[in-house]
Amino acid sequence: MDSHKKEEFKRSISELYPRLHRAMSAYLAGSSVEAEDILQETFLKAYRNINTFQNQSTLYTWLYSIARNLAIDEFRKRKHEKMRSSTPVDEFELAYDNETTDNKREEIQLLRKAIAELPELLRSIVVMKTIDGMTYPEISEITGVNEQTLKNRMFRARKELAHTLKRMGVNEL
Amino acid sequence: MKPYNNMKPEELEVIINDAADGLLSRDERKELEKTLETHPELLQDYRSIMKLPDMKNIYGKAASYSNPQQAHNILHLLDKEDEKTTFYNTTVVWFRKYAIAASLLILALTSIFYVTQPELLNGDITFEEFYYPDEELESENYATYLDEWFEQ
Repeated sequence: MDSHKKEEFKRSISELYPRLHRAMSAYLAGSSVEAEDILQETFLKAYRNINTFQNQSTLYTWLYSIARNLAIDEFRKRKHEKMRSSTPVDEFELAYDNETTDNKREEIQLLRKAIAELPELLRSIVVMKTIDGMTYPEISEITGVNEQTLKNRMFRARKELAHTLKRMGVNEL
Repeated sequence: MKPYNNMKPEELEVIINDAADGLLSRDERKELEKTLETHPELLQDYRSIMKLPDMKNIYGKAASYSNPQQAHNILHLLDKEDEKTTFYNTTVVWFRKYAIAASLLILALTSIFYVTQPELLNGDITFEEFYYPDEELESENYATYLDEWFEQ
């Protein structure tokens, strides 16, 4: 039974890796924690505990919660470092489509920086909801927080983002 | 759902969030905006939030994050984990199978030995005397030497 689950898990890595990598890159942007390191540990930990995986959640949300917990542990270990972003805007440059204009690029960089400046509690929800496209029930499953509270936090996050972007002069908010 | 104008500010925040998620109809948005006129701070938040740019694609497409080398490394790590688990499981199975049998055998042999050597059980001779009958212990020699030295 376990070996069947393990084989299935191995087969799903190539499919799940890119989405989880993108989400973790957004979540960890501006911190000194590397997304690749967290991902490697995540898959290893999940593999060791594959028999505890219940099919009530999807494999992706299960992996996501493991990755998030590992990242939070890493933040705690490095708490002497600033958890909030102090990374220059240029370092938020990742992949862009070829047709992205310079103005758009600058806006994207500022948006990334604004998200990275949010406290973890709000940043994690913004990343899951707006960047990773999860539903509130899925986010609730990962965070263990009820949907109503999540929506209130999302409101606060959006309000803070609007405030930060206004300060940065994006779209004259 | 109760009318917006009967809602508390925290409830209206959730509705504003729903509007930002694109879940409200045109009429619902109009009703919300009308209600927010009595909550100037929330109206300001609503306007700012609704102007937020779309953030869905600011980290590009997931496909651009595929890293075959990293995925391969992870698979390699998982294979190594399998090897470790196999070794551990084999050891445990081997131990369960043979270690108990070996313990019982040692116990049986020891019992047989004592049964065939009744002097040991009666305390007539010690185990050392049984095995090394002609050898004198170093400690005994040393004790004798000390006794003699003190007497002098």
